Amino acid sequence: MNTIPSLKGFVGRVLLAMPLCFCIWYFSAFIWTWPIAELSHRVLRLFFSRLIASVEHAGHTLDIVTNLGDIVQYTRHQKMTALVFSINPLVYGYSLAFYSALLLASRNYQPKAWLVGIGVLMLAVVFGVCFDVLKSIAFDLAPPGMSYPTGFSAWQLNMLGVGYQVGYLVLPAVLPLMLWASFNPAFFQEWRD
Amino acid sequence: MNRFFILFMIFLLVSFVGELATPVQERFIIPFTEAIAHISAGLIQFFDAKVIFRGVEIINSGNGFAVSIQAGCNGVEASLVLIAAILAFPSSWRAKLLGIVIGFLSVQILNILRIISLFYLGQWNYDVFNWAHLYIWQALIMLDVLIVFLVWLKFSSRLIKA
Repeated sequence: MNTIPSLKGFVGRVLLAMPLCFCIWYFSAFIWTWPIAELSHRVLRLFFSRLIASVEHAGHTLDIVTNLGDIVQYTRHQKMTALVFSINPLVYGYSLAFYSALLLASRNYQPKAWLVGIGVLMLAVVFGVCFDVLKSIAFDLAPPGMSYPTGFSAWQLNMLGVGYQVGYLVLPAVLPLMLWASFNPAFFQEWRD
Repeated sequence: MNRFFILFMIFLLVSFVGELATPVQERFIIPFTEAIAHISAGLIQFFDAKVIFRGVEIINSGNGFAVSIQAGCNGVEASLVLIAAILAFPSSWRAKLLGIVIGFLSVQILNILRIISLFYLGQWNYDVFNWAHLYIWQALIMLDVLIVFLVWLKFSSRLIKA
């Protein structure tokens, strides 16, 4: 049974576990960002192949190769080559380290809790990365006063903005707590009692 | 537990999308963020007179370094997470109201500490600042939300038993 004797003890263990979990998370980032790159590539190519050529794994970052060079022609004699920009997946992936610290602190050593939780969080990272890519293309990359002809309607641009904010602000923050709570229901009952 | 999670996600997503609306941003969020910058700068001025604030920015007038408090750094999203969790959990409305008010203040106190620490970390070492800003403090703020929620759980269960 995974019971926590006191809130102080639990919080103390989380704070002790966090440096270890964050160090392992950061120095292994070149490994766990690879499936993120692969999945993001597949999702973006499936739905937005007109805009995205590829998502390439580059150590801690992802290089996004767009097709905007085929879409944009500045002058009759000048055509832009492929536009490439980088995304930092770690800003969506800190949830992995935080979740691991919560599990260690609650002495929940079930492999299923860790594997399922990490799997769900990785999907959330892919969500965040994909919306970051689309948001960057739609709002950030064009020179001031210009926008690329992405084909997004006004409603779709709004949804892009919401999706980006959810992927950046909500999912990495909330999912670790929800997953930890779902794998430790006895904790809440005993805590309340 | 499933009912709690479903209600929590509904409350959170509705409040989050509502918070993103332009009228809400203009009338509440931006003025609130400016107030947070004002309070943070005011606290810093007790020991560092060179610090000023302008809008949502806190500026060191000595070396020109500045931080701008944006979405995710004003404590609003963390507060919405806490409020959604309190609203979703079955308890009396009195307990919910007390939890929301005290919980909101607790989150904001830690958030102001975050802003002040990042302001000085940024002046010391930008790589450490990025680490603290993008990864560590995000987790610590959510840990604070969890702690406040757990304390409120204990308090609300005692109210029911009383």
